[in-house]
Amino acid sequence: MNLEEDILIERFLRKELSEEEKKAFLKRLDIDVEFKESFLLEKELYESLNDKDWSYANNVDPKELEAYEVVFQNEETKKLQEKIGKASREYQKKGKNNVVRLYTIISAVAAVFLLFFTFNFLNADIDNAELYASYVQKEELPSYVTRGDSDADTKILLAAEKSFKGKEYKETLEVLEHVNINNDATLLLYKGISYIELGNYEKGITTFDILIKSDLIDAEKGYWYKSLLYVKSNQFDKAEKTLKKIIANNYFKKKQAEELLSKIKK
Amino acid sequence: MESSFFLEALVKGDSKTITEIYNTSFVQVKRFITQNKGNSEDAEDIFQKALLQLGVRYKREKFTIKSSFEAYLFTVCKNLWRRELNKHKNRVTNSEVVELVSEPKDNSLALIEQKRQELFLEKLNDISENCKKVLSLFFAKVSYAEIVVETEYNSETVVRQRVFKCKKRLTELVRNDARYQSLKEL
Repeated sequence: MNLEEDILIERFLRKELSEEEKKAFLKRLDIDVEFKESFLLEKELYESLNDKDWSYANNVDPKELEAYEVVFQNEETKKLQEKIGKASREYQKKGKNNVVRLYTIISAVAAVFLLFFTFNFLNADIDNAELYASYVQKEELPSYVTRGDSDADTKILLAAEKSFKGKEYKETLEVLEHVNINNDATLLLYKGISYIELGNYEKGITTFDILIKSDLIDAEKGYWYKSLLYVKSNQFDKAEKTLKKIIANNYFKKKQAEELLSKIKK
Repeated sequence: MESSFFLEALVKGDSKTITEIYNTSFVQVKRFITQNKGNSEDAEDIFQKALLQLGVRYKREKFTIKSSFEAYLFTVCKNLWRRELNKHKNRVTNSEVVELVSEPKDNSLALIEQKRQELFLEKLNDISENCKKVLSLFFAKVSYAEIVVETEYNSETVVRQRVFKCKKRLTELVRNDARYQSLKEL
């Protein structure tokens, strides 16, 4: 093929030929086998090596095509297809379950806290800490087990979760000391709640403040848990202030904050 | 882990490894597809097709993957998605494919197209660096005037001649490879 023919093919592919030139070009493809071969290869390259296009196999060796079709249709391939489909469904389900689980956890925690406070104000003599321990259900906080990766950081997270759910709050805090958790809302909640459990309210407040000041999506949750900390530690003035902030800014748990505030004020 | 481990697992239909592949690779593919005019269902469909393609191909021919399995799977998914996005255009310009193609046939065509693209990329890597650069620009539909700016050549005529020579070298390499015979358009 010479330069002239190459330019002609290129102009055809770039749709630069006039109607007449195009007609002559197509006619030549019909009669000139060598020219047609050059054109087809050029077209395949032109479409394959451009990210925005794709080179389709419209008319390839039927034997080659049939050989693959046979494999695509055999029993083993059908079984593989079923297994891939099953893995896909399970994977998607797991993702959905995680979302559902998170909502369940949030609702459960809210219900438990609500129950705790209602009970608390109706039975003023009952010890706050005892109630808290009975109803907090921390094992339902979000989990890292389903992340699927196994790098060093994930191992630390899993160790922290294991300790937290095993109510070993001191160990939880020890594990979390080795990793920067300032960009992970769940871990900050693990840490903050561990401090509440250990009665170290000052550090609990510091932890929730880190969450509040962060630019994480869940940053506002810090206010809710901080208000719960204040209630548990009998700092009702501060609890009231924090709850008002939640209500004014329409933060996480606004409705519960309103209920809780009305009970504190009673 | 060796790429052949994952390919063998697909041939054997090893559910545990298939799940592992989902855990490590699906998110990246989904992100790519949803950022390129697709949705989650498209991503699921493409991912399944890609895994099936790899399984079938490995069953017929024990091919080797030069990159990691994850990177290769991503490339296959990306190409299958390019294929989907260009389907409408192909139907318009090739009246013969308007007919409805069965799923096994369509999957086989996609596999042949993938192999053809791999062969072209392999040959593109076999030519000189200079030719590779000029042709990459040319196939990306960069105009001759712009190629002059991007390279050390000083006129469009010189670039045109360079493209011609490089293309000739590339097409020779492709034609001389026995694999091309079963992949080319007739």
